Amino acid sequence: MNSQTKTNQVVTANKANMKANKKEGFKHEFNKNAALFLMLLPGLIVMLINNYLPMFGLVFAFRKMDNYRNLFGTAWVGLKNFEYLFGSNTAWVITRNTIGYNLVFIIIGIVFPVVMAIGLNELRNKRAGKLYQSLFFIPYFLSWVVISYLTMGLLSSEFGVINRLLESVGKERIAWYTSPEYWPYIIVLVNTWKWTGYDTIVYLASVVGINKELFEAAAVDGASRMQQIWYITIPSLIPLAIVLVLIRLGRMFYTDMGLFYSVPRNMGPLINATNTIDTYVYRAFVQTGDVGLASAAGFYQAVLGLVVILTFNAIVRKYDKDSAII
Amino acid sequence: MKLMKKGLVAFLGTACALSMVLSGCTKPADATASNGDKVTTEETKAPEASSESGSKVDTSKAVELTWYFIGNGPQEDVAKVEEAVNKYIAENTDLNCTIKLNCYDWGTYPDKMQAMIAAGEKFDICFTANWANNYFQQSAKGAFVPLNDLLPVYAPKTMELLGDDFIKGSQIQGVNYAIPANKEKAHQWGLVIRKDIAEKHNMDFSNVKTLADMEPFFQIIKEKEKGMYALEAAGGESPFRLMDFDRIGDEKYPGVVWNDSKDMKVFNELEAPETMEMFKLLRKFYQAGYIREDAATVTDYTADQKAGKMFAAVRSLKPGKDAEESNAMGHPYIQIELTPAVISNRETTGSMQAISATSPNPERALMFLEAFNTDPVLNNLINFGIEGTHYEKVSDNVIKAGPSGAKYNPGTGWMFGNQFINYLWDNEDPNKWENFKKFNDNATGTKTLGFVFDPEPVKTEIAQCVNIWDQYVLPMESGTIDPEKGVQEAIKALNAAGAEKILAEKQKQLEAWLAATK
Repeated sequence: MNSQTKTNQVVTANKANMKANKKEGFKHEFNKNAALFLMLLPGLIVMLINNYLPMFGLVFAFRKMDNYRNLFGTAWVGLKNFEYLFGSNTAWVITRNTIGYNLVFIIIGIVFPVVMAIGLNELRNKRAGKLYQSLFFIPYFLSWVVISYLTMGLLSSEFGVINRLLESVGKERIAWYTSPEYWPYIIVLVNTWKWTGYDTIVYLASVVGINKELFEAAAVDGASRMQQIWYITIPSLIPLAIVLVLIRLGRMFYTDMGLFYSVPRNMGPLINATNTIDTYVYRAFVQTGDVGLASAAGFYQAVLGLVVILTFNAIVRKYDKDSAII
Repeated sequence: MKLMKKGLVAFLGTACALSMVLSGCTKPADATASNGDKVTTEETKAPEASSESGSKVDTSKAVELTWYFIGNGPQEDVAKVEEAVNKYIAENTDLNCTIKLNCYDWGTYPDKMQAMIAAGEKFDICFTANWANNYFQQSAKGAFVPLNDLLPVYAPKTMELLGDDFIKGSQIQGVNYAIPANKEKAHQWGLVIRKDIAEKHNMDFSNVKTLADMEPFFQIIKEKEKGMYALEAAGGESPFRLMDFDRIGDEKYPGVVWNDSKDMKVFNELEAPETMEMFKLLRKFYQAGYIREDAATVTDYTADQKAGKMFAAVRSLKPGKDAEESNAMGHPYIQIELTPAVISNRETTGSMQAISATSPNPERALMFLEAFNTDPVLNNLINFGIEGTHYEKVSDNVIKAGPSGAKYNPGTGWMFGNQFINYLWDNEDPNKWENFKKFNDNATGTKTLGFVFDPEPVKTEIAQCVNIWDQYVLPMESGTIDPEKGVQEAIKALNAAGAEKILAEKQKQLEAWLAATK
């Protein structure tokens, strides 16, 4: 009993001490790095305006938005704005597509860029490396509208390059835009083509930053090139991969309108393969013009995203405390 | 330092998750548009002390009025025409304003306006109708300025010109939210057909009474005119419109009545045997290669038409539509009427200009529209461009294309204010405007004229139906998918989404309205 009180006291004292230290630490840090904090300021302000101010809009999701001029003055409708998301059998299709595609994107978004980053790093000819890197990076700068026309140039049933090729070797043309069975592959391919270059650069920066001494020491111990990659490069990339995956998991319930609406050109027959939460909401919004419905979907996506992030983060924390973000 | 880093990362993570809450209204990538053209109000020279029109608003400040409308896309010489318009306004009127013309093509305009209006973007005037930039929906949401009090003060001549039919016919529960264009009052569906091609193959259309009768001619086109599409079915320009249902409420969810008003029973148009027949015909045409293989992917059908690749298309006809089409598209056309002329909500609210609730100068915008509807010089300038450049005069009110006529030719006289003061092209019937009058007099009105459906009670069901409509009905309108399967699946999906509730609501509101207006 007595000893326990003592320990408790010690603990509280320690805690208080730590708190003081922390406080002092932050003050100290601030004084030391005032210039750095100043540099942080513009970004912080932009984030407050762009990301925190619109949060007041959350109330739209629960209100009847019958008038554009009277945003905050309309009636509460509870969860009525959410009903259309779950009403029919479409709910299953859009949820399946949204989550399914995102999972595939996340996996491909680790495997391809990591392989390419390591490959580029291993290239002896640094000039060729730079050239490949730029070539992979170009698709990232193209807007979805441009990409949708590029895709159409390839897939258009009459004039598309692919159908012309098929015809020239004596095969039947394929009506790409009315055959949903091909679209899961097309969507994944287009997305990979657009993003791989960008992700490669992120991983490459990390690969280049690995301490050279590690490789030298391994070489001295007789490790082969492959062993060095397997035991040094890849483990060094894991923390970065975890952060990127966490960020992407947060956007698990969002999809790119460009990829899922512009690229399939909003073709009806493809809807089962291309309809996601965002395209579903967009169609409903364009027809009804109801901001309440759109906000409800946004709210739903954000909450689910947060839940996924927190869950994954908890798992990460259990196995590797330093890589967790919270 | 580590603590700080962690805090910051946490901050970032949360921000990521919770941002874009309003994704629905900010997401559409191109909806942000290229609108550097904010309305600016700037002080310029002091005005002359003239207020002969008795207007009550101070016009001493010069304003720019931004105008959004639908059409064949932006015209190359629009800047030159704006300049000419502004010069004319400055020299001949006391409006003291300048005009910025923004035209979006048929497919893009409705989505653009939906996003712009929801985002509260500032502009002054926009085109609205029951079929684009939905008049009823936007008015109900307060997107437009109610004009009842303003019209008699700032646009008395326009009111007189339009008369009761248009003014009353465009009201929503007694309120005018837009000014209709003074044009034909009825609609009639039919075909426009390339005259030169038809003559080349000695085609005789005198026995054509329905779309099915066109089959032998399409066959000829398919065989003899390589690279030409026999029937246009792209970009929502579907031959399906020949059904001419009297639609209750907006597009993309079920519920219509027959336009002959025999009974007032609201039904799901997909369940009508006539609809199935039409879809089957279109499917047949599609499989025979008369309809462009990728018709459903094409959003701007005018490209084909201008390039001369289109033989026939279904259009809303009126006297002289063939000549109008010829002038706008650069190829000669003839027209064949297939449905009877009907006056419905489609016409009285078919082409209007509304003043945005975000307009800083609604009175000034209305004053401009008044001048635009009554001043032939100003009106024709925007309709046809600059004399000597875009058109040349043949006689007093007859014109022909000028040296750079293709660079400004909106070809949408039915939208711009008052057709009865427009010039006529040299290939048009000199009696066009008299024919319009006859056409108006001979048409019959539907019983639903003036009825407005309020979608609010079935909003949830409508939001679900829209996706199903895009999935099944649009492809069937171009013959892209098999209707035997498609119609059934669509009906099943629509019913699961609550179509029956929508139909019942429509019936209920329609009956209440009929009882109230008897």
